[in-house]
Amino acid sequence: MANSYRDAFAKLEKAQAALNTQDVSQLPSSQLANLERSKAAVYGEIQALQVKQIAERDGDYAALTTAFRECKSELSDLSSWVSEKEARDRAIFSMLIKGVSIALSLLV
Amino acid sequence: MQRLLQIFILISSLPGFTACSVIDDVLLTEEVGDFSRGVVALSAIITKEFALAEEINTLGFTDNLKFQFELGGNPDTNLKPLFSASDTAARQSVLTALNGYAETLAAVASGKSLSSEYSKLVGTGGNLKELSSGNFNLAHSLSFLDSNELVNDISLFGKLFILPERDKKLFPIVEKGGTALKKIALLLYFDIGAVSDQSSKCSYTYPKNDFETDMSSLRLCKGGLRSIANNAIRFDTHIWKDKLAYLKASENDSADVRSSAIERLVSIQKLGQNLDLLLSETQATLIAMVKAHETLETTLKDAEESASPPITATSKSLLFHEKLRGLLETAAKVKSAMSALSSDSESTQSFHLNASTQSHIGGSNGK
Repeated sequence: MANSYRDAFAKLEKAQAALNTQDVSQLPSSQLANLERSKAAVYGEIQALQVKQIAERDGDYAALTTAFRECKSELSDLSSWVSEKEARDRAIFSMLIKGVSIALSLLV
Repeated sequence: MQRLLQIFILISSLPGFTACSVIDDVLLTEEVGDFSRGVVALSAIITKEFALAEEINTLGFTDNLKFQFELGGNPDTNLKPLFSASDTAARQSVLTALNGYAETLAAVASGKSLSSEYSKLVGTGGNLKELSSGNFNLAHSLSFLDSNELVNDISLFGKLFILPERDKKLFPIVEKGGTALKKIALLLYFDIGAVSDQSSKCSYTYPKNDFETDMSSLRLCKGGLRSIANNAIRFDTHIWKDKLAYLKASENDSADVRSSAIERLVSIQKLGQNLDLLLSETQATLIAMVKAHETLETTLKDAEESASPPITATSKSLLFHEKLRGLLETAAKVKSAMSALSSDSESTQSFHLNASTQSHIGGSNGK
């Protein structure tokens, strides 16, 4: 089901909050780099949505920024990395999983 | 004595002498001049606020880029400004019109020539006609129809600048300008926006806001410059939080680097608090400006209708100047904090790519 701009904005904010909440001290450098790139892309998309006057806030959402469209590979990489972990580790990265899942749901 | 009386009667009978082209009350002339300077100062602060948001966005981009490179990542190196050139130009047109109006009032009140004001205002009226609601951040709290109505009404402000020379009397200009000035104040108020929802209706619709009522009763939803700036501050803050977490897990965590990161993290959050204070104070000053203009209109009307000298410097104009003084102080604090952060970014507060960071857990492959 397509997201409206209003829904997409709310989801992006939830994704951003979840990604910001995650303790990153256990993340290896490469995944932390993926996370920082993804966070920058989510941030840029939120700002673009805020700046742009959208006549139809209930219209079907399509990503506004190239950076957000292109961060799908980083988000998928993060998702795969966490999936490969043991259950205990997956619990540690629960906020990361949440944030990545929400962001990916907007890029389907 | 008889001769002096004749001169007095002659001067008094000149057309437009009372409260018209040149007002006969020194205090009132000063009040109009003060109001004009206040509007120009407020306008300059608003221009700076949008520039500050851009600077913070650039700061966050730079910090994120440095951190990603430090981690061995492959960052997107294209800086995306918050506002397009046309969005910035649209705001500048509105603020130029506001300044032009204020300076015209001061020139008419003091009897100065308007030619210099006209030369500055060439094109302003035209620019106002080109305005589109899409150039402003209004969608958070206003419907598309209301946004368009507000912007269209402002385009009429340009008509004030094409009054024929014979109509250059203060009261008629102030009387006509009041509505347009309030519309501009409303536009800027909504454009500055809110950092969080001020109405329970925000989750499903727009709050009911009547443009005709007192601006103090306006209720906004999260959005506009305050929300944009807050998000930019939050973005940069979390880069430094992540950086600290990364350093904590590092085998060779350097106390100096950690200390710099902590200072930076605190400075950015303080900047954010002061910037939001500046933006909310700007909104309060816009309300005070509208009220001061209403007082000016009443005072001029009284001056035109009665021979007695008008009561000047009322509490509403004093409040406008008091708000403005506070605003200038907060603006100076924000400017200083921003300059410190920007210069630190270039020198001591850099990310220090060194051995400690390279030996971070997980190495460079992270698998």
